[in-house]
Amino acid sequence: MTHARALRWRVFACAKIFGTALVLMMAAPALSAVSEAEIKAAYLYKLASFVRWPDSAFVEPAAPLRICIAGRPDVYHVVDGLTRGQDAAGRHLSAESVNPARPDTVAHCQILYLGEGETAVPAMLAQIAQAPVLTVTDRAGGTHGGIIEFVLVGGNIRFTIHRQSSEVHQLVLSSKLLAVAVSVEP
Amino acid sequence: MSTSGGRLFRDYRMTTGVLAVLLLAVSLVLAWQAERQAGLERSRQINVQAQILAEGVAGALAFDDRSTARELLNALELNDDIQAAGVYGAQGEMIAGYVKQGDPLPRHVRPHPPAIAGLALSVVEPVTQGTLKLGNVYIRATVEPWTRRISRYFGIGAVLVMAALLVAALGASYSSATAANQRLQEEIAAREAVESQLRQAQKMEAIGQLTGSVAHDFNNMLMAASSGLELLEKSADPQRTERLKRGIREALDRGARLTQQLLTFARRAPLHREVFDIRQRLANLSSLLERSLREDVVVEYDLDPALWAVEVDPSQFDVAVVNIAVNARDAMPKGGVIRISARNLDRAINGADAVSIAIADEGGGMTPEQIERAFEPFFTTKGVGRGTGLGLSQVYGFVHGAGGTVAIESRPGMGTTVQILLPRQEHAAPVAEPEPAIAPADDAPVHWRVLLVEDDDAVAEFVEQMLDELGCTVCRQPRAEDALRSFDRAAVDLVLSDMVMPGMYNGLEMARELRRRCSDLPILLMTGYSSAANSATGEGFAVLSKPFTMATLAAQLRELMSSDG
Ligand SMILES: Nc1ncnc2c1ncn2[C@@H]1O[C@H](COP(=O)(O)OP(=O)(O)OP(=O)(O)O)[C@@H](O)[C@H]1O
Ligand SMILES: [Mg+2]
Repeated sequence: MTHARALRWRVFACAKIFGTALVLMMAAPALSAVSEAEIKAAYLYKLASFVRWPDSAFVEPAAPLRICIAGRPDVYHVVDGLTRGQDAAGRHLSAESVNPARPDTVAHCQILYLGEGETAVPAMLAQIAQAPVLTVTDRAGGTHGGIIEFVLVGGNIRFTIHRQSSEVHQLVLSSKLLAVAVSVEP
Repeated sequence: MSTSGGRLFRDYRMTTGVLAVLLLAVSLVLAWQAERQAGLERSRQINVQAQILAEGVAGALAFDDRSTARELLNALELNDDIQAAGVYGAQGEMIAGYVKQGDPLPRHVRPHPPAIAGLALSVVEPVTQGTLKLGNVYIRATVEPWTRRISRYFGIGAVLVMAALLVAALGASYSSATAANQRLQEEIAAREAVESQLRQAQKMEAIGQLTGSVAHDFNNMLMAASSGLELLEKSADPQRTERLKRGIREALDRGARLTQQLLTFARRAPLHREVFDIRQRLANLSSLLERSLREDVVVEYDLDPALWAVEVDPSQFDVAVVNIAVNARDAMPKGGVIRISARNLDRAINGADAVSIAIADEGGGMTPEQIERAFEPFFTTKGVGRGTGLGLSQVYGFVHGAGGTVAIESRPGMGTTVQILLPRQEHAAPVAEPEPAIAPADDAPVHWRVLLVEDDDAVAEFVEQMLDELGCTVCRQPRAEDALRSFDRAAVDLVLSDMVMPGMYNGLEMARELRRRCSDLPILLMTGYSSAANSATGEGFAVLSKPFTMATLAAQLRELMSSDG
């Protein structure tokens, strides 16, 4: 059993070293457990614990914390799996897939991941304006302008943080989050 | 005593032993307590370290940031107390870690509070963010090595051990001191026993000496008296008779003085304290004194005319003066002057006024050793038969009995002065009553009928003759019972009885009975014992102390008859 775990560990490490390219090239089912989508989904899921939203972000006190994924159904599926039955910041978590073509559907999200489709992104960001939504864009997917941006550093998926932007959106980011960001832009 | 003493030492030794052990036990408990405190403190420190690491590593675990985790561990690595540290993921897999010392990092960990395993203290702290479980951190710290801990306690430990040893040593030395003390006590007791045996032996020797010399003296006196009487019977020359009579008298005086001295020494002589004037007393004594001395010895008087009165037994006073004067005479074999001086001294005896009587001679003097021993009974430098060594002891007994003091001042070849201090009597001396022994009583014959009760035939005969001489009619009864049975008040004017008699009643009991029957009957009791005399006078009976002269008897009878009617 320990041997099996050690093997998985090594596989996981390799996946990181070779990055998404390798993942994209090889559609082997053995690697799907550590795919780029899975890593990003896990990050999105975990982000909920490192951010504080104002009460105005929720329509009602018992409202769930929604993680909305635009345009990456694979990521959505993983997040949906991770969040099922889970809590963060005292709320149930829920995953939603939003349509990039319909920016009006994103106003009730707390985390909005814009994974691809750079054309629709400006409209969606504009729709959100200064609403308390943690926007996450993905440079690998060609999207920009989110409070948090996934970047690829040395084959690892990391992120940068735009602090000013987070303040504009009335969000408080944990210092632990800032500590692990590749860069924190003002 | 020695067994209880032994138990005592064992007790001391045990007590101090227990004390020392207690001291050590208390210090061990204190050390253990301090050790435990230190251990808890260390656990707390390690726990805090683990919490800090868990806080710091949360982001890195959440977002797979190995380098951040590594940096945090590097910071921890600077702490020398931490042997190993590791960061584990949510699945329990190790993300990063280091080992500086000891066992490798465990593959998998589960959260647990600080726990000691072997020489290490390890803790696993969960890493969480809100409700999100991100993994665990593991920290292993060195437990302070025994050597370091022991060296920490060594100083205080050494002091404590020394204190315990000191207590034990003190206890041991105390018990040995007590043992030594007890041995000393036992030795002292043994020595005292030996000393008392020695004293007893000395006393026996002294009594032997006394018996010898007293017998010798008495023999001489009896010899003198009986041969004198024999010669008297054969002699017709009045001058010679007179000389013989004087010789007999002197011998008898000496005998009386000797018995007086023996009684004083035995504290048996009846005491008749009287207030009197020393001047007068010495004047009356002078003729007797001159008779006791030799022609070549001259007595000079230097008496303060305003001497205070004293209250002592006058006859004992006389004997004391004669004893000192006789000693002075003996010290001057070629003759010389005896100076008797008397004067008042303010606050001389313990702050009380006293009369001093000093008797000085021009004799050979005494050595300091002789002065020191002179008052001891039977101490004499005169050969057997010449001195009994009781003269000064009588003086001492008399003076101390009277509440006074006596001292000898002398040096060899420089003469001797014996000074007597007698306490002053505040009441003035009564008008000097004529002394029956010296001043002859009124000689008119009396015609009283006397009942004489006396068991001793010789004494009875003698007393009977005396009474006869005085003009009395005597009826003698040898036993008290007989006297009581045949008693007839009408036939008796007075009763003269011995006190110590064999039979159903003694003299005092008979006297009581007679007084009960006839309260107006004059009774005179005779005795040579002071205790008997005291109990009789205590009951109001007149007492005549033996031996007595005819003059004393006559005076006593006259006084009794005149006061009784
Ligand atoms: N005046 C004195 N001068 C020198 N020595 C004296 C004088 N008075 C006493 N002593 C010494 O003290 C001793 C004791 O005297 P103490 O009168 O007690 O006994 P004693 O004279 O020897 O015998 P006792 O008086 O019974 O006949 C004498 O033997 C003598 O040595
Ligand atoms: Mg003498």
